[in-house]
Amino acid sequence: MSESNNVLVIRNLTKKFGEKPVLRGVSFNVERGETKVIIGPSGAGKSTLLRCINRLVEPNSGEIIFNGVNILSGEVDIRKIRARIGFVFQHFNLFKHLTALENVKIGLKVIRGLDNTEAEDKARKALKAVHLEDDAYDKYPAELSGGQQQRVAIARALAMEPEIILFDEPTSALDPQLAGEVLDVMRDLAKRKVTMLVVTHEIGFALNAADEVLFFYDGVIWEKGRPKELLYHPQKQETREFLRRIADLSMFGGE
Amino acid sequence: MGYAGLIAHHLLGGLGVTLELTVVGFIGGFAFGFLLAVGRTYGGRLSRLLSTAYIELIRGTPMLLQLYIIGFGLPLFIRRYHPSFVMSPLLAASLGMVLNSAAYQAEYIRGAFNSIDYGQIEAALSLGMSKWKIIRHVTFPQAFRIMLPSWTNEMVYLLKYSSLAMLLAVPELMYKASVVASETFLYAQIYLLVAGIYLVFATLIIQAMRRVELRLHIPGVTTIKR
Amino acid sequence: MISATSVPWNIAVDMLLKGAKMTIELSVLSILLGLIIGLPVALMETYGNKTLRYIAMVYEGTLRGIPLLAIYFIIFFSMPLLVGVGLPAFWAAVVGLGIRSSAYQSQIFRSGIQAVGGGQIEAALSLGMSRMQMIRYVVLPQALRMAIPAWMNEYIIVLKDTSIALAIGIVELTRQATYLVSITAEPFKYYGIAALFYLAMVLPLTYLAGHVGRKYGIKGTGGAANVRI
Repeated sequence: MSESNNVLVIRNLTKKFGEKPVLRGVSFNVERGETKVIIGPSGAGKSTLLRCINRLVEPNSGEIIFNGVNILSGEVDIRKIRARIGFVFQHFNLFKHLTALENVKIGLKVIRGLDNTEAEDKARKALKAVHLEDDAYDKYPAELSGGQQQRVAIARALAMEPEIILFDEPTSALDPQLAGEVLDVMRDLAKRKVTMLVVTHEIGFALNAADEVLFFYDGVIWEKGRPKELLYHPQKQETREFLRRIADLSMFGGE
Repeated sequence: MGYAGLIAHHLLGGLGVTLELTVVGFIGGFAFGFLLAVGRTYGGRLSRLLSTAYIELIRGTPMLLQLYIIGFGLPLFIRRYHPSFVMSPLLAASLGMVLNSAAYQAEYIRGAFNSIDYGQIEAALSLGMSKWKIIRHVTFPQAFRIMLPSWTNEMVYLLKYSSLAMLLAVPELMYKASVVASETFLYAQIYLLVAGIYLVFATLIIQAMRRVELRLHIPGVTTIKR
Repeated sequence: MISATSVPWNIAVDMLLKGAKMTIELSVLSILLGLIIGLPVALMETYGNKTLRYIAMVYEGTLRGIPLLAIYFIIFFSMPLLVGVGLPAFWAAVVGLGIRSSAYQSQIFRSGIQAVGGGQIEAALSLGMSRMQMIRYVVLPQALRMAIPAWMNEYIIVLKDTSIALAIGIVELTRQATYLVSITAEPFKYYGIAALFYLAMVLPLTYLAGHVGRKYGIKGTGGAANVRI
């Protein structure tokens, strides 16, 4: 029962939008250094789940225990918590009026309170970690490719030195070639034991980089297991059907 | 020679008042417009109702009517109770222009703030920024740039419509022009000259603002036309 | 100054209606004049040769850069002296507001024309259409449809600016209201009614334009109605 190794523990999380239940009792945990991947049908609520974790969306009931503290309780300073949880969005959400470098620096300056030199230093390190091309540092998001924008977004999250990074379908908005660059960076991070919770359709990434794969269906974690087990030998009917559909597509798409 | 000098003197005086009305109208309009925009977006039920009603009322009626209400109707009404009440025409016109411009600027401000996609706000929240920090570091820098063309339009509009103050006997450019024209009988020349002056200043405003827009342009945030 | 007199209600209503009628007449004639001139100017500015384009640009640039009051005074006072011919006040008002509107309308149509995708122009020319045919059968139908919301917005502006015609003696709504106020010293009553008249004309049009704008409009011109271009 050593909770101390868990960065995140989710217990019985529920969320309804109006009459429609989206999360019906989700429970799982993420250990330090783990890369956990969530797969599942589109629109089922995986995005909502991630957004509950940093409380961009407020869940109806349940517990979210981040480093031993239940962050759903009233006395918690959510802004401080958010600064320790990284979030990478499907549509990148870079700040359009700032260059790539400035995008990564801003959190460090405005929230961590670092001075310009320190912030610049850490920002450059983060951008290097995502292999951003040199000439892109001073470009505005509108001047960057999708893959570059997403890598900057990852750097922006990384630079804050969070305890976990949440990824919400990071490559869904990218064409296959650009998606590849981003997945490479993510594989790299997984190798370096960055704690990651990734919602994705990229089965290849799940196979290569995940420590555990969770299949999210009908508002709960329907099944889970090590990548090779879950993906090659799913136990439940629904898991099998989902994988069959995805695999059909990815067979033509190549991995 | 002194004749032309006299004409120039009168018109210059009028020009001064015109520019005064324009500047005061614009700045006052922005200040009040900002309050209206905030009231309409973030306010409680009552603020939202009042600001929306105000904006629709002003935008749905002619500026001249509004100027007459403030410069003519209001003093008339007050004189029923305080027979010696007098309102300076310049004050009335300035007030009218501020109140008018505010309604339009409120919508420009609201539009600019709304045009910033929510995704960026989500990202800022995820980093741990507070509402004020988000406005200061994310929303405002972009909204400000997006509003620049509207500002250009509004300034030129106020420059032109300040001429309506003439009908309240405010000694601005158009009023002075009519005075000079009727005294010299040089109707054709004076009005054409004055039209030219308005055109010059309108062009100056547009050129200056264009330069500002170019300087502050960020691809992906603002668009450069032509 | 002068002591207030009260005006019998039916006379007041009569006067205000007379003013409203004039307001509407003036606005309709002006917007139509603006259309008749504005569309050709837009075509000149988009498809014309260097000279035509220059003339169009000077025309609309000037008329958009000077106050309507100045245009009125020039037409009403200056023209007789320059050209020897003067217009009666009503027509001076129509022409003044009309040519000013034409300048703004030319920009509206220009946006509409430019919004018609280049691919369609290529397709039309590939079919063998002449330039005129392409403009007439492919570009204009779409351009005009897309311009409708912005055009309605322009009409709203014209409607409100008819008030300025009182400066050359036109008996429109604002003038009537002011006259009644000066006699009765009841500003809120008569200005209030005048305001309601304007609102009754403007608000439905604004709503309609916004509705049409969502369906057909081009982004950035006329999606939101009642904007000062």
